[in-house]
Amino acid sequence: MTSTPAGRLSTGVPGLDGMMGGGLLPGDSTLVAGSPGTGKTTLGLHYLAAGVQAGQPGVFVTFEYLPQQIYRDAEKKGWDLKQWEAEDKARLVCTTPKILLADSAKKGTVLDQVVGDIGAQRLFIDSMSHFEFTGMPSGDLRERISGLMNHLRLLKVTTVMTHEIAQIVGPAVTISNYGIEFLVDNIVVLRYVELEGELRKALNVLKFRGGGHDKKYRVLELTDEGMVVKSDFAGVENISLGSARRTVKERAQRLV
Amino acid sequence: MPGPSKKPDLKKLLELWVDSSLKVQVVVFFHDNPGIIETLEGLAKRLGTNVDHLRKEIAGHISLGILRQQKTDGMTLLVYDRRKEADVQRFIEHEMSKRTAEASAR
Repeated sequence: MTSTPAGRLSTGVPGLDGMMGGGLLPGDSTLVAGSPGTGKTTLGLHYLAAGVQAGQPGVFVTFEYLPQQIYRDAEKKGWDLKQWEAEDKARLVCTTPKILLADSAKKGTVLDQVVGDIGAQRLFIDSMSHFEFTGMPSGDLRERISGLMNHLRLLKVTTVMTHEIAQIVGPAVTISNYGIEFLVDNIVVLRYVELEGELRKALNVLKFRGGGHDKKYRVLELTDEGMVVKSDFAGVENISLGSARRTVKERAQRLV
Repeated sequence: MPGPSKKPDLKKLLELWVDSSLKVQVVVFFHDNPGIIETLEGLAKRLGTNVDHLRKEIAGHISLGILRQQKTDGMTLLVYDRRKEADVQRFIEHEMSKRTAEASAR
């Protein structure tokens, strides 16, 4: 097990912490954008589990799944979310974007109550894509999300939120149509890369306000125990285009 | 000879005691998903029922305190009170063991 440097919060995925200088800065907001099935929700469970271990209670907000599905998925990975809730180390909230945004300019919101109830220091929101289904014009939505971000800063929680990337592979990656990528401190991208006829998962820290970070694409694997960030794609290029290939040098070496 | 005493299950007891299937459905739904925060309309959609019927059926849950109503931004939200559920469960357990003791004394 690796230890988290002072003043940092572990994401629960050691490989990812290492890419961000040891972990997240307290109070920061991190967007985890990824294609379906790349492990966004799993990362949220890791983040919550790391908080429980560090004595930092956390709130997991889902718009997508019923709590019973999250309990089941967490249990499969060895995390007893119900027990954490019983011990006031975590709260699982299932609601709608409209309810989460309600009265976010004031105190006493639904989120304030849940965060205050257990003294939460960590917050995970899955997923911000659902705000696009509220039917609000993108300008209004950006303003409301910006208000929510300010509200979260005042709550002094360190927030990790997910966003769906619709494209499975390909050169163009659009995260949102309301510019959430400009409202957050950090961005982690999870995507599929086609390499020699096989779809593989890759992780990249696109933006990190907390100082220097690892800019390489790294191999991402989802195992029975959760998410594992491995080595970089050595000898491979064009990963960001979605259709990676071995570098000329690598191909030449393989021929020899 | 009676077997070892088994902890009564609130879900099962309510299934026996309440007088409508929707009332049971509401309790079971929140028992399994205690973190749900929804409007009446949203809850009706999730349960596949209509708002007026649901409003009538959850009045008892609200007066018992298992469900709390909270007003925000012009919406009335329904929030499950986990602590109240624990109180109700303890009460039922107490009542059940009292009745079981009375029955075996007879």
